[in-house]
Amino acid sequence: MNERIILLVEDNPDDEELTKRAFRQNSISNPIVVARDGIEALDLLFGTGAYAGRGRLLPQVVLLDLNLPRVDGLEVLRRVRADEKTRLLPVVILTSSTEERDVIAGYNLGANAYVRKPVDYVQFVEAAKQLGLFWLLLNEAPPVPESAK
Amino acid sequence: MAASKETTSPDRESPAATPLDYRAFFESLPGLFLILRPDLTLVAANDAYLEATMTKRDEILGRNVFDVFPDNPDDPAAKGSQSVRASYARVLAQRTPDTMPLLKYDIARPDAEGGAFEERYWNLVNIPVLRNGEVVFIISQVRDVTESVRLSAEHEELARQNEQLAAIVETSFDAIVSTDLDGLVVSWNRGAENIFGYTAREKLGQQHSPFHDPERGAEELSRVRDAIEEDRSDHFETVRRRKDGREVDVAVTLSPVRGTAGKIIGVSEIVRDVTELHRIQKDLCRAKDAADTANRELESFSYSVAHDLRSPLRSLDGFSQALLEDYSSVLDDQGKDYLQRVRRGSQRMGQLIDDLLRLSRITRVGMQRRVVDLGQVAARIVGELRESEPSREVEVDVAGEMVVEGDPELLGVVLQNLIGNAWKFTSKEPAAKIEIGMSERDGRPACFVRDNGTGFDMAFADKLFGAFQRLHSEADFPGTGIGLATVRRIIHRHGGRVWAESEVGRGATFYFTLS
Repeated sequence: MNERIILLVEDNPDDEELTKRAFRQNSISNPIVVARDGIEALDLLFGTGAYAGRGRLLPQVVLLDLNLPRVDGLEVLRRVRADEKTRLLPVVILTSSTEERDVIAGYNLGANAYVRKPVDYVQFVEAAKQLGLFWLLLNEAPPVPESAK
Repeated sequence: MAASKETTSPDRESPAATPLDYRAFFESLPGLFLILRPDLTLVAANDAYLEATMTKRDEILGRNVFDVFPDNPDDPAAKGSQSVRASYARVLAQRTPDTMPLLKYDIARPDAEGGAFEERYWNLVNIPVLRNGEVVFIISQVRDVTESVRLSAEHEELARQNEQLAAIVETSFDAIVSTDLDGLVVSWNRGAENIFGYTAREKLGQQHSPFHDPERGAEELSRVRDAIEEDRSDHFETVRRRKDGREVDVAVTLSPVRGTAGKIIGVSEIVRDVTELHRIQKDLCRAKDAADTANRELESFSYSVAHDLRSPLRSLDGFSQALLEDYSSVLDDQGKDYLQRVRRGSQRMGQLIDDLLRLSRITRVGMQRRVVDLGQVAARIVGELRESEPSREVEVDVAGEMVVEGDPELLGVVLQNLIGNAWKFTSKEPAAKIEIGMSERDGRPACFVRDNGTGFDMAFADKLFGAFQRLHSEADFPGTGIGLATVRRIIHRHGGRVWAESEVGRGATFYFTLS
């Protein structure tokens, strides 16, 4: 698996479309897998539920919204960090919440970064570019444990 | 009391033949006696008299009585000598005994003991001795009643104090009940009648057992026992039962009562009806809980509202931009303009949401009280402003000492708004200047932010701090109109005042004080 996959956990279809477009505009053509709620994200990462028997998804980075139906973003983060196989997975919280308590909670649970989704789309495109450049190109991702392959 | 006398007789004779020695009889009489001539010189005094007046026979005989016994020079009201003189005069004139009313006549201590006057009271009866119808001597029979007068005065004072204390007890709203060691009621004031419903007549001499139930009764009785045994007071709250069966919440202070001999003779309790107090406390608690709940609900409401409102805005802005970019070939200038307006509208709404959220948080968030150097805060804000617009040249003067007490974060918001405004409204000024410092207004220290920008018309000064109020058009100076409302709310939470002075075209100065 040489391709660097982005896992986008986002329930809002508009935000999903705009995020994909922003990456496209910055010539980031990596495959983007979208999970539309917390359960789907966990099933993808752990190879459980609807994705049982299909192996785990091994993304280069997870872009995680916080306000998700069924299981919210912080809970997803907690479970990802609790599992030996996904403990080191880079997770960037990408949310519109500016609440300080969310920032603190996110970092406490082990998020690698916290980025606020701006209302201004042009700013958002810029942010996406920065995110893409850093996490996909510049950042050295942790090695994937053998047992997870 | 004079010691027994030895009579002097020239010869040694048998006791039966001892002649009558009237002088010895006189000098050893019990009671106090003085004998004077009509010219008021002293001719004889018995031993008891000398002792009572602290004088010696050889020092006083032959002298005028008033020389020997002057009035107390330190007592301007002393008229003892005057009264006695009048009595002697009456005896001489009428040749009959004269009984004087109670006489105050202070007596001097001997010089050897300091010579100070002592307060004394006497009863005098002056009796003439007649020979051939003329008064040849006056006998003064004296009684020292000082002690009795003193006791009587003490008694009166005690009675007065007693009356005062009794009045205090009686008129107290609180119930004051005292019982003896058997638990029988000794005193029962009006307050007790009100609180317990029994009259004094009903309770005096009866058992005082106003207990709500046997359990409480046992507990209270053990408190009483402890108070007596350990000789201390006790204070507690409990429930008592009135005569009509109704319950009443009370606060009781229990104290052992000591008799005159110093032994504990009973117990007294002061009982206050606290039913009303409890009710008010319960209401307060309920109100506080309601307020806390409302606050929490408001908090989570604001949070979710803000989040939910921002989401569609992102879509509006994003897809308008997408249209502009991807479909520019089929859009004419007007179409592009419309889409730009859509974008601006949604961005502005995003700003409004942020400002409103901040404003609503100001009243809900807890305030800290710390020492803050506003100069440092101001310098930081100016630095950020310069970074955001490097092309602008603005002269900024921040005063050295700007140390105040308040919430650091909230005061930061205040300066952010005021300095941000000053920065914004000097944007059309070629030589923009902003001053930040402290001065005195109305005798109190006030902080100020001054600029030489566009200023505003003082006629609209009272609209300045209202939410959404703007005195300039959006085209001239962008802004949501909530900044100053936020500033005012923060300053008010600090107990201070905020106001502004300005002249159109000459800039503006914003002042604020903190409690």
